[in-house]
Amino acid sequence: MRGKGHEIVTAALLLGALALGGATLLLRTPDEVSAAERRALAGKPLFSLERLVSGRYFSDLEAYVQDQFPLRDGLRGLAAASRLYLFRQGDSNGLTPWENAVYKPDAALDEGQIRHAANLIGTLASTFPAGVNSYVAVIPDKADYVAAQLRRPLADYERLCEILRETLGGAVGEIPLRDCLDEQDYYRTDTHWRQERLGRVVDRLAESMGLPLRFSDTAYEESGVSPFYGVLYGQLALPLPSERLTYLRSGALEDARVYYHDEDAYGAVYRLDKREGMDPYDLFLGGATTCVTIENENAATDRRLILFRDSFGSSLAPLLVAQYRQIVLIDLRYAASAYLERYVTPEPGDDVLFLYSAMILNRGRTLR
Amino acid sequence: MLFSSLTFLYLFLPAVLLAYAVFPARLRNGALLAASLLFYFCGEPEYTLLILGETLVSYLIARWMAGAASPRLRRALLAAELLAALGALGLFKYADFAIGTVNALFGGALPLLHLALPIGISFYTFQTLSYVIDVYWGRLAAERNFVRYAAYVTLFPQLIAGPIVRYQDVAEDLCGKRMTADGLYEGLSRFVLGLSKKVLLANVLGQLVSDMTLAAERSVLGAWLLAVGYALQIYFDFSGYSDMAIGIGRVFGLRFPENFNYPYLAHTVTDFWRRWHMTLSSWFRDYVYIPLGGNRRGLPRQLWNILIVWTLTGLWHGANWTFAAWGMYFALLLTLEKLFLLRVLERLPRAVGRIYTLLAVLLSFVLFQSERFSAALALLSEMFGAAGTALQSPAAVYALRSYGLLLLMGCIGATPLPKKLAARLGARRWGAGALRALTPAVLLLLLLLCTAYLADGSFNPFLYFRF
Repeated sequence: MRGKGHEIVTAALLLGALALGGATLLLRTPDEVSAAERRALAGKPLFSLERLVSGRYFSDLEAYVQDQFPLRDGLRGLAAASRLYLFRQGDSNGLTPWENAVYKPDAALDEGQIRHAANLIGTLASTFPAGVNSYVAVIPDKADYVAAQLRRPLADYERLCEILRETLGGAVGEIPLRDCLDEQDYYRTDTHWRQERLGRVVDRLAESMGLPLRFSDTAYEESGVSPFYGVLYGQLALPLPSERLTYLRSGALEDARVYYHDEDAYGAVYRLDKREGMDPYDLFLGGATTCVTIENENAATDRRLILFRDSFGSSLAPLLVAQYRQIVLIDLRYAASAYLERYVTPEPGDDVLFLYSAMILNRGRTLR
Repeated sequence: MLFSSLTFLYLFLPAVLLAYAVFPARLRNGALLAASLLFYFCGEPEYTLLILGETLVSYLIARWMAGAASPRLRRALLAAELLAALGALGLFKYADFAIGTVNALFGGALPLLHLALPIGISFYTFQTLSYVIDVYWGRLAAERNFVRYAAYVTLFPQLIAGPIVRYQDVAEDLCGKRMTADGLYEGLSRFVLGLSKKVLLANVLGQLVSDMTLAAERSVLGAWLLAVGYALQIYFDFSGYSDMAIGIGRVFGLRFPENFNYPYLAHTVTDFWRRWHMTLSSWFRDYVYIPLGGNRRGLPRQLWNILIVWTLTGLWHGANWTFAAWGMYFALLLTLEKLFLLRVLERLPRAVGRIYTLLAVLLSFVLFQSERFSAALALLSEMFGAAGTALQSPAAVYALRSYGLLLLMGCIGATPLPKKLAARLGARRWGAGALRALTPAVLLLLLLLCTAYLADGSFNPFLYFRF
C-alpha cells in the first residue's frame, strides 16, 4: 500500500470498526441478565420528555450501551488479560488469578467497621439471659493461605481477631478457625468454602461448644452440581476450569423440617431449585435470607443453636443439624438486631454462634 | 457525554460523521451545530440554553460593535460582553467560593447558592470573549452568519475541555471545510491515539493515585508514587483529550491549535508554560497580560502583571484558594526566572534545568490536586520523610510492582521518543512499508483495547471536566 491508498484503508478500517460496533449494538436483542456478573443488565432506556430534559434518558442510555455492548464478556476478558499479562499489573479490578484459582482479598482492615460489628455482637450478647453460651468465629479469606504467592497486601486476619477480642472483652467465647482450613477448602472460582471439606471446622466447633458428635460420626453422601463457576470467575472474565459444587446428604438432613421465614413456607435444606439460578451456592438453605429455622426431632441433643451468620453459615449449618434439635439462622444484614424477638428469643441453655467471614466483618456496618 | 464512552464512540460519532458526509455543503455547519448542541444536551440539558444564550449575546454584540462608529459605544458594548460572559462564569463557578471566603473572613453565615457548574463554561466563555475582543480590536470582522458562529462556539470536539480555539483559527475552515481522505486518516489516527492515552494510561494511573491517596499506611515511596502518578495522569488525561479533540476536528476539516508540546521536557518553568495547555497560556497572554501592559511599563509593573495573570490562571482551573496559590507559585517561579534564574540555568547543563523544572511542576501538582492546603502539606511532608514517615509500606511496594511498567510507559510516552523511533523506522527502505502495514493494525488494536477497558469499566470523567 502506498501513500493515499494506505490512508484510505486505515481510515476505512477505523470507520468500519466504529460503524460495525454501533450497528451490532443497535440491532442485537438486549440480554436481560449477565450470567458471568450475576446481575440484571440495563434495559433500553424509557423515553419521555421529562426524562429527556432531566438528563435521565441519556444517563440510562449510557448504562444500556455499557451493559449491552456486543461481546461484552469477551471484551472484559481482554481488558483483564491486558492488565495482568500485557501491563503486568498485580490485579485486575482487585482480582488476582493464581494456579487456576481467583482471589479478591481486602487490602487493608477497616478498623471502624470491625469495631462496629464487634460492638453489635457485644450489645446483642449482653441482652441474652444467663445460661446462654455465646461464641464468635471468624472465617479467614482464602487468600490468607496463599499470601506469599499472591504478593499483595492483605487485610491482617490476626489483627481483625484481636480487635474483636479487645472490643468484646471476653463477653463472647472465641473459636479459632484459621488452623482448620487451607486454600483447598475453598472453591477456586468463588469466595465460599467447600461444604464437603468442613470436617475440621465442624470438629473444632463441636469441641468448643461441647457437642457430642464429630464430622465423621455422620455418614454423608456427596451430590453435586456441574459445571460450577463461582462469583469470582465472572468478575475476572478470564477462562478457568469449571468446578463441581458439592453438597452433603444424610438421613438427618432428609428428615429435617426447614422453615423459610421470608417465604413463610417449609422447604428442603438444599434448595435444588436454585441450582440453575444466578448463584448456585444459594442451594445451601436458599442463600441470602433473613431467617431460617431447621428442626431435627432425632438430633443428638435437645439443644438449640442460634446462628448469626453470612452466606458461609448456609453451608455449615446442615453439618450441625445432627447435633441440635433446632437451629435458627439469622442474617443481621437483613434482620435488624433491634427486632431479634420477631425471629427468636434466646433462652438459658441455648448456644449462640456469631459466624462471620473476615470480609463481612471488614464491612461491619452492613450488620444492623 | 464523554469522548471516552461507548455511546460516543459507537453511536454518536458514526452517526454524526455519516450525517456530515451526506449533508450538502451549505447545511454542514448547521449539522455540526445541531450535533454539538445534542452533544451538550446529552450531558447538560438544563444549561444548553445558557450556552446558546451566551452565543447569541456575543454574536449580537459583535455585530453591533462592527457597525458602531463611536468608540464610546464600542467600549460600552465590550463592557456589556465582559459583564455577560464573566458574569455568568462568575455566578456559576465562583459565587460559592466568594461567599465561602467572606463567611470565613468575617464569621458570617451567608447561604451558599449550590449552583451546578455548567460543563465547559470556562472554555466557551473564553472563546466568546476572545471573539468579541478581537472584533473590538479590529483584528477580526464580525461574523454575519449566526449558524457559522454558533457552530464555532459550540463545536463539540473542543467544547468541554479545549483546546481554546479562536475564531480566526477556524473561520476559513468553517466556510470551506469538507471531509478528505487525509483529514479522515490523520483525524481518526490522532483520535485513537488520544483515546488510548486517556483510557489505557490516564485512567489506570488514576487508579494508582486513588490507591495511594486512600492507603492507610503512609510512606515516602507511596507519596512519590502518588505525585508522579498524578503528574502523568493529568498529562495523559488532558493531552489525550486534546488529541481526541484535534483529531475529530481534523476529520471535519477543522484545524485546531496544538495544546501540548512535550511539557515534561521543559528546561525552565517559562519553557514549561510554552508547552503545557498552550492555548490557555496564550489566551491569558493576549487578553490579560498584554492589555495590562505586559513588559512595556517597567519591571515592577511587569512583575505585578505576572502575579495577576497567574493568580487568574490558577483560579480559572478551580474555585478554591489552593488553585490560586498554585497560580501564584508559578508567578513566583516565573518572576525568579525573569530576574536571574534563567541566566543561571542557561549556564548549566540542560539536564539540570529539566530536573529543576520537573521537580517544580511535580510539587505544584501536589497543591493542584489537593482540596485543602493541609492535605497538600501532609503529602509534601510524606514525600520528604518528615514526621517519621516510613520509607516504604506493603501497599506502596505492591503499587510500584503493579504499576511500574505503566509508569515507565508513561514516562517514555511523555517524550518524543516513540515518534522519533517511528520516524527512524519510516526512514529506512523497508521501514516505510512496515509502518504502512503496521499502522492500521496498531490503531485497530488500540481501539479494541480501549473498547475492552470501557466495556469493563464505568464512569471515567476527564480531570479537566470540572473546568
